[in-house]
Amino acid sequence: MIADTTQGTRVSAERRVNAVEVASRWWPLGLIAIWLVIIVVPGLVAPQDPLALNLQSTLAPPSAQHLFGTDQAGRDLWARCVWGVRYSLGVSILIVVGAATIGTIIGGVAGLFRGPIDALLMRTTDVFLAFPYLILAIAIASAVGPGLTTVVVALTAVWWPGYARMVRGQVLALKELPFVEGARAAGTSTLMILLRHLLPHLLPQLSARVSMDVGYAVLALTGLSFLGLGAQPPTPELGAIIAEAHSHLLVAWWFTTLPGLFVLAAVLSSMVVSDWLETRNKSSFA
Amino acid sequence: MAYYLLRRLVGAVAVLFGVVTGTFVLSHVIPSCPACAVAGLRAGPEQVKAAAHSLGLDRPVWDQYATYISGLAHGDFGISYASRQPIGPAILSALPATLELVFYSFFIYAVLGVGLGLVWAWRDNRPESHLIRLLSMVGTALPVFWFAMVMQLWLGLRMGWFPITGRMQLDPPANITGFYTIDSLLTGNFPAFIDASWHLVLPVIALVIWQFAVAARLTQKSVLEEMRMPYVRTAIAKGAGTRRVMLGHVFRNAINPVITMLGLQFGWLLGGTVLVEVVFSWPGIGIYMYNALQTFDFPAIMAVTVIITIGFVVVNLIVDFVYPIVDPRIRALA
Amino acid sequence: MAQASVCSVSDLSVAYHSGDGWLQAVRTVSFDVRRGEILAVVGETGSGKSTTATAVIRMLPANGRVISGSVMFDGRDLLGLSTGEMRKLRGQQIAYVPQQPMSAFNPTMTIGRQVAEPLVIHRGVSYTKAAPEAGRRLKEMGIHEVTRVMRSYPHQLSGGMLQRAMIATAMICQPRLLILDEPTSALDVTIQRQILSLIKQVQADYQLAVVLISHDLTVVSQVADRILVMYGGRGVEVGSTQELMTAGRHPYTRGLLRSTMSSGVEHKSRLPSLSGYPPNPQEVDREPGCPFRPRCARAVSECGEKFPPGTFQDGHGWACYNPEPLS
Repeated sequence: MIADTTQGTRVSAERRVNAVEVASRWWPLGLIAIWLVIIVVPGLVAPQDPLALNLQSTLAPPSAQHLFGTDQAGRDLWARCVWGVRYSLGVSILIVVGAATIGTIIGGVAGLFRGPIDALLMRTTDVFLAFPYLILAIAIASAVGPGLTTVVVALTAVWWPGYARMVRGQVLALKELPFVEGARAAGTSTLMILLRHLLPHLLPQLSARVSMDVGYAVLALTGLSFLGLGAQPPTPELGAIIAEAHSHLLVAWWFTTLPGLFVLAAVLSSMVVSDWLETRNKSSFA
Repeated sequence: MAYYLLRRLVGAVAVLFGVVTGTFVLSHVIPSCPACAVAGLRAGPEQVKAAAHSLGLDRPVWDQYATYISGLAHGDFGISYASRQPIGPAILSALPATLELVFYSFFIYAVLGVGLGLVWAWRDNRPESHLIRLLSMVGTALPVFWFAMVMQLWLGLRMGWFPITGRMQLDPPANITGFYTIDSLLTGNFPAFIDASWHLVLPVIALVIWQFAVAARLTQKSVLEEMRMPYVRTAIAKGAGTRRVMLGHVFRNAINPVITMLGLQFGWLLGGTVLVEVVFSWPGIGIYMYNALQTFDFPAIMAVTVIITIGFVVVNLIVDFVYPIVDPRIRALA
Repeated sequence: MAQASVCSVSDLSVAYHSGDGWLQAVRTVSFDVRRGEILAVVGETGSGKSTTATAVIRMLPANGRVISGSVMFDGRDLLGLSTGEMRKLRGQQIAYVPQQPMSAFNPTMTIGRQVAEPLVIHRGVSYTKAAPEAGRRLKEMGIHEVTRVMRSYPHQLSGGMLQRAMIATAMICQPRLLILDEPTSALDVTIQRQILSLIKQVQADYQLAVVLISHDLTVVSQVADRILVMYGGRGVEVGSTQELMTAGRHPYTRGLLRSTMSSGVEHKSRLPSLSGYPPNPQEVDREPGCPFRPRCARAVSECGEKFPPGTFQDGHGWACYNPEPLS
């Protein structure tokens, strides 16, 4: 915004690089590292077995032995949460990457070929985008039957149109540029043009969006599981756990309140990483 | 201008058609054996066949499709597998509850979201904007069903400040609009108004917290972009103060993409309603769908899907109609 | 005829903060604008002419700062005024016409509202009360279908009409100083002439002090009374149009003149042009001395050490160690 000028300021400034600055610029990588540890070696973070029933101590409050207490079947809640978030993040990443890939191919093809193919693909995209995404996911999941594959299919189907639209738009803009014409003139096939020449330009925006969408996918996934459409018991899944907790609302506050914090942490992390990628994208174009 | 509106209308109808076909495919083509669900778990092949026949599931697919489409055109949503009752009336009676919830949520989060977004941009780089940014981030990251439950537990059960289920405790007011809040005011039933409003608080908060951030962030981005436009300099050169520039110039231009977004967000709101209704046992179409899910009641599930999607398409159509009114450039293009 | 000075700029220096340091865009520029005269500030891109004008009305972007100098208007230093006091002057006493009229208007507001806006701001009247006055101004600026234009949106009007409307907006509160930033650059040649004569007429009718910023010496020489030539953030020559066009002393001024068509160029001979490229602010910051030295055919050793002091002769001033001889 325009500012009023004021009198004099010294004209020189110095730059010093120090550890604090490096840390403040690269800390999201540390965040990613922590989550990677949780996903790859959950046993390190949660020594207890998430499936071990213990009917002696059902619905026990948090203690030294059970960090988050136990659920209605006496299972350690902390372990169930750790395994649950691992499941959520893993599946979400799978879904989003899958959707991004499908969307990129479809959007790229539509943008490069134009004509009737473009029109057909875009109408299909429109139909998908006309559904409120959760409702569409519910509809698909209900038709196929609950389970892991279902939610993957349902959510991928919900997510790809967004990517198709975005990539198509970018491809339309990029393909007017001289380097694409040059590649065409040299006889490069369309697929190679898409992969070799256009993809590097699409990647920065794609990666920022993918990491943001992982968070949203986690929310959608847990939402579907909450409704009973996702992973079935006894697989620990955060949404399902929270659904189970609803029946024990008054007696076991830890059961309801604490698992959600894991979801929150996962989603916030994905947003932080996405913001960070976006800032890095912007600065590389400066 | 009329051509633009006609094109939008045709587009909406085409999309609706696609949606309806999609739900038909989902409920009749994909499930391996819908009749099995109806006949029950312990049914033998004879009973399954009988069930299939009674529901018309043994007719050719295109025949079923034709019946489905013509039924919808007449407002007939078929028979529920679970209750064996017509779905249409059941949905209709549940609809006002959802509409009331969605209406208040939409209004509050639109005003809150746009307002906060404006403050966020106006006070860029000051503590207020950082606070709003933080709130937005956390709000979007919350699983709406979990947050609803947390409020239910801590504010409802533990503190006793708010009711935890249902729309009302007292007897509902006379049915005029279906909105308990409005109806109670219209019939002068003040205690009912308080009761209904109090029951709305927690569900609406859950939906608002989840959505306001999207509106806020877009408003903020849009306002910041507009602030860089040349006409802002012109206004300042005329001697306009910050308030005039922001409210008189920037805001009216920045609001346009926000209006489109609000239309889209309405769809997400509808999805979130399902989750919130389940948590609060709110008797709307969301919980109707949830119950249908538990019993694999495909016609019911698809009926709700179609209804919600129709609502979404209609809202976006309204946005398409409002847009040219607000932005003269679109009016010219149309 | 020496009139009272309306605005007097002394030793103005402006810098921009970028990345990790400061870049000086304007260095110790001084000039006067008098009542009833048009002063043109001429220079290439990067010469600092627009920055100077923006600094005068205190509308530098957020990363700009005035480092030193003063801008006297009405006996007060504008740089020392509070935000509120400055706001009162803008649009009322000092008017600024920005570049590119086509983008300078708010696309979603009617022209009528935008032209009347300074009245609404400064006189506190409603738009309905201000509208007739806006209509009168538009008519004065040569717009014929006033009612239609007032109801139109910017995208419905041509560049020339928009520029007239912009000038009407600037004049509506009858300011004492009018600053126009590249008023004709975005327009066709025929429209350019019309706008220039409009400016001349307005100036004469209201006895305004006018500052006209341009990169085009030919355009400017048609209407300006006095010209300030800027290069690399410095004022290098100032004087009456007559003096500069016939007896310019600074090599840059002469170079500019020689490269325009209007000076006695022989038919079919090569058009002389200044060699080299205009400097960017980082270069100017680094090198001491005169910024024109790399392109100057008359450079001497002192030119690389320190910027030359100004020489003045009856209102004609130049800053050069080895100025062009009078011929």
